[in-house]
Amino acid sequence: MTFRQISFNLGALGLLLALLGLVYWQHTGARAVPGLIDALQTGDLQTQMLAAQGLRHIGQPAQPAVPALIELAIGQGRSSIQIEAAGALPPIDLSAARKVMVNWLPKLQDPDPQVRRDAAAALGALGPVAKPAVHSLLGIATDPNTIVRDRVVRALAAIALPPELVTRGLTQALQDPEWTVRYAAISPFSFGGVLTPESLAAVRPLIHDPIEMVARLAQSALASADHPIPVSVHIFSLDQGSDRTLPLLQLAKLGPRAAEAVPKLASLLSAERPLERYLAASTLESVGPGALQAVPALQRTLADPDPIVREAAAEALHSIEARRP
Amino acid sequence: MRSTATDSPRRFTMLTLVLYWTSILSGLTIPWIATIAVDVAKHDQSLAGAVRQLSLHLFAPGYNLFIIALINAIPFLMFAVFLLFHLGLSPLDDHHLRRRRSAGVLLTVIGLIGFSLWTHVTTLWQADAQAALAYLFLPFLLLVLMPICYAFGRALSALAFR
Repeated sequence: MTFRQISFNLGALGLLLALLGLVYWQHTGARAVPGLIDALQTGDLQTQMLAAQGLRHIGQPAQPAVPALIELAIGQGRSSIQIEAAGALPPIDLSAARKVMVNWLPKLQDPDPQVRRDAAAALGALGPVAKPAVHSLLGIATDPNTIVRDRVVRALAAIALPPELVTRGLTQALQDPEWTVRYAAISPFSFGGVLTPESLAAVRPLIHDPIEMVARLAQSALASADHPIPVSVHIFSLDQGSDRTLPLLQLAKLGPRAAEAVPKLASLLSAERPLERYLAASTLESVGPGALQAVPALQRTLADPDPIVREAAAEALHSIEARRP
Repeated sequence: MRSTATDSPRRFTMLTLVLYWTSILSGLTIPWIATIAVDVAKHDQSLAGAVRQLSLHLFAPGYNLFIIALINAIPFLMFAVFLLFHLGLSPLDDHHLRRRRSAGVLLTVIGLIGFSLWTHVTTLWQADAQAALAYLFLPFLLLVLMPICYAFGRALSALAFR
């Protein structure tokens, strides 16, 4: 072969790689949003679900998709797409997620158990942003319908805030006569959950639960309580991962014991993503007076462009001041 | 003596280019072919349905079939560039050397395609939470496989054309 032939074929390979790079670039990040909005409107469930997942992954740059996501999250479609669309909103727009919450909240009191079940599932999909819904969820924690109770427990575990209220609800559900509800209630404790003395007392008998899966998770929860993950590990996770939601929630569950993380949490009040700023403020709220050194940062956050973050900062300041001895 | 593709310079160039582009395109498409094949054979989907599933999951978070194809293609691309120079710059007057090189390269391309296809199909067939790790390790295994297949091909050629 001549050098010209070799160069030509190498050049063609370079061109192919550039083309592949261009295709990838076009289908990721903010460039993918118009295509994903179209996919949300196809009417095909799988396409819609994948589009919602894609938009959630993109986060804030997916802002133009918010109206379509709200429509799906509160619409008359299937529960699975309502949940997926609701779950996509918090990383994109906290206020939009709250709108969905406000829409679903009254449905927790609906006479139809299927509507109550769907409402609980949608609220759970919103995650920690649905914190104001916890009281209403606890109000139907003893619903006569098993599936409703199961969805309520799962929603409480997903929302996770405020930790004291959520833990109280989950602890209560540990004594549910239905094993699926007990299983849903014990799961958050066994995977890095924080046990209060009350919840510890409720978990102990479950190691003899007739359902083996529940008993195993109870053993795991007790083992986690004996060897809690140090705060420093959660702080390390905050520095490492691209998604800080989980370590922030873990710190929030620790409450005043997470005081060591206050400087890191204060720095996250100016994070780029509103969801992280919201979670940092909510975690400081659960730390309470131990977060005194974060007060100047929280006061600055009162001018945050996102109203939900501002609200969380105000609640954190109130918690720090109100609980001071 | 039989005439082979390596004897005529024109046919040898053609063989080189066929192997070069086969290596590149198979590296890029094997994960997609495996996905479609498993959807059709295991999940009883129609071919059109399997192709649609593939297109839906190309850029979907948690699936990223496009990225998996690019990762799979890395060793294939490296070998394609190697073979382009290795065969393309072979001395025209040394038929024996060209045959041995061609056999080594041919067996390597077959080995890479076979091993990659087998890995992708078995990973998809018995999918579990850790299965995706196979996609990360596969390029390294293919890099190890390359010299072994090449040496085997050359040895076979040396025996056949002694």
